[in-house]
Amino acid sequence: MEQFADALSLVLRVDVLITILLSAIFGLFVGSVPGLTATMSVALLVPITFFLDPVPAVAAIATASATAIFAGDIPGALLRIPGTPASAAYVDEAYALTKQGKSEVALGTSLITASLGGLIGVLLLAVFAKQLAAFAVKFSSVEYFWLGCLGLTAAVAVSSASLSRGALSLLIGLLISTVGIDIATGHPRFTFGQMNLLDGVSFVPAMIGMFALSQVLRSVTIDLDVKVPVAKIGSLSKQMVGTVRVYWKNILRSSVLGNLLGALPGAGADIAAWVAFSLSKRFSKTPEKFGTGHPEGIADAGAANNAAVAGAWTPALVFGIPGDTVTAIAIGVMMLKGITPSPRVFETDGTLVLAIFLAFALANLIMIPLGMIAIRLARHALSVPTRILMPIILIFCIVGSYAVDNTIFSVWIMLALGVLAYLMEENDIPIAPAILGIVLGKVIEKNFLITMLKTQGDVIGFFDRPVAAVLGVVTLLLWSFLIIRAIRGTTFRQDVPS
Amino acid sequence: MKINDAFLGLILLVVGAAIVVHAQTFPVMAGMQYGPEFFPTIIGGGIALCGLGMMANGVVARRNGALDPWVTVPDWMGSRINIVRALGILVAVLFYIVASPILGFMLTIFLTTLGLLLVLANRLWLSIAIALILPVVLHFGFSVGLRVPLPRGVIEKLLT
Repeated sequence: MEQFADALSLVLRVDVLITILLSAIFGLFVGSVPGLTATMSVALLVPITFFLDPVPAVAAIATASATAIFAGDIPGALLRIPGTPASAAYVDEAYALTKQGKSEVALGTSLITASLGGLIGVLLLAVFAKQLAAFAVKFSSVEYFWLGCLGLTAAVAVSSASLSRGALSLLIGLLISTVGIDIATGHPRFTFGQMNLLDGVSFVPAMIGMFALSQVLRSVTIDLDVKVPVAKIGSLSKQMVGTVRVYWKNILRSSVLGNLLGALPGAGADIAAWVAFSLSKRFSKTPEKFGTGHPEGIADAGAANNAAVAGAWTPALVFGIPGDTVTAIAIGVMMLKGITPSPRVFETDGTLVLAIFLAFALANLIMIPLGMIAIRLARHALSVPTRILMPIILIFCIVGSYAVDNTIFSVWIMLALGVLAYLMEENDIPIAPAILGIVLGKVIEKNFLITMLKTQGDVIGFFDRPVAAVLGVVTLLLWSFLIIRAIRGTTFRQDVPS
Repeated sequence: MKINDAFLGLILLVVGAAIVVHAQTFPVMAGMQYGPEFFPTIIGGGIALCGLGMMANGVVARRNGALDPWVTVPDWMGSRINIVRALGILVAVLFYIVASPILGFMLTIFLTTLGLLLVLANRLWLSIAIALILPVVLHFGFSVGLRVPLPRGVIEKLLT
């Protein structure tokens, strides 16, 4: 209880509250601009968080990601363009309502369910993470090795690309993670004689490049002159109360589901939304109404994607394994702020972590009034032309990369990885597995080498602890499944004449 | 730019093999089976394998009649304006890299922003206005507010 009071006093400070407010506005703006994702909002925020205290820094990331995921629904409902991939699952449903002149039903539903989903998600995060941590304290290098492998496997499994393309993305990320001084011998690997690469590829410029620069490149090469008429929006508050009264069971169910899915490495808010939406249809009393402008699916998926945002923090805090791309960035920020994710994080930084949870909850609360304003202002936000927005975002990419470690070399990294990510996406190679590869590569290699030192090169050492054995077997099974599915997939495709 | 599966696979095979070969030059730790070369070798091998898989896919597709060229130029490259825009983005970043240590932060940002806005066909006065405001906002946000030592130049010296 004393800890709770301490945490509360860390959050209820003017600078923290202002940070949350500004991050929320920023997240709402970025999320509501089609093409700009929640991850991008966070990547652009990171350079600024470097100069903040730990609590406001992490709160800024949590807030921006939560609000951006909701804001993605705004252009989704109004224009049938999902603002972020997490809104794609129910964009047709929401747009169908707008066409009937009932955009307030779509947006009111998604706002209230986003907020509630986020709040339930944070609550579950606080409970689960602590339980998981208590269990995970006994983990050794073997378990961490397998957890890392499992995380990477999951990232490949859930990516929509083919196995070879998902695996390729993963390997590219892993390769990037090996750049720099090797931990065992101190030998520089793949540094090409560059002093700046001895510490490895700097993470923040890499993220900014892969998410923001690649998007800027895509945006300026498609039509710059899209003009969009935005419909009129009725009363939101009435709709929000009604949604909770009718769909509280859906919201509860999908929040739990979204939270669990979010905790899986690689599966983030977008997958949570897809799964929740299809389950919503399956369990609905009126499945025939889906697709015609029925808010039930929006309530489910809207709650699930925001609950997933919170869920992704569970493995991030306890194992340092990101649940999605946003937490991949958040881990970097936490480490920099002296919060080392580990099962002991609740003992070493208990108050800080609790403060982060509170800030997260607060962000989901202020999302309601700010979201209502954002929906009203959407007309203007959506009319900022790409031709003005993209140059400004590019400048932020440059300054943001530079500000992280004050070297021009970071701008090079941003540029190189931005172009790499652009080429990857052009060739249907997903980005998310590469991000997890970059984050987890060092973790996996380090724990592999430590285990090998302990067992003196005996591979059986990877299976002789019960939890490690289970994790190892699950990982291997998942890979076998993926490979079998891929082989079946190709033979199947060969049979079908194209 | 979309690269044909067979061709992309070939590139990956070569790159993967090169990584494996290069990794063998890393020093070995005495008495250790696995050293700094172990992970890069696996990664390089994996990339080569992915390459092989894609080549197989590409060859099968070709046999079934698919005739993708080696490199498909995306539609947007058909218009010269789009190429200029994409290059404009890349040149802007390169310009910042080269110019900011010499010209200082504010002047470089002004020129970069102005150039980009004009390349994207914004109106001249609007472009100038944005290009004037942005460096000032960033200077006060980053240099003054967050104390990031941004590259100093003529204008920064006048300001302090």
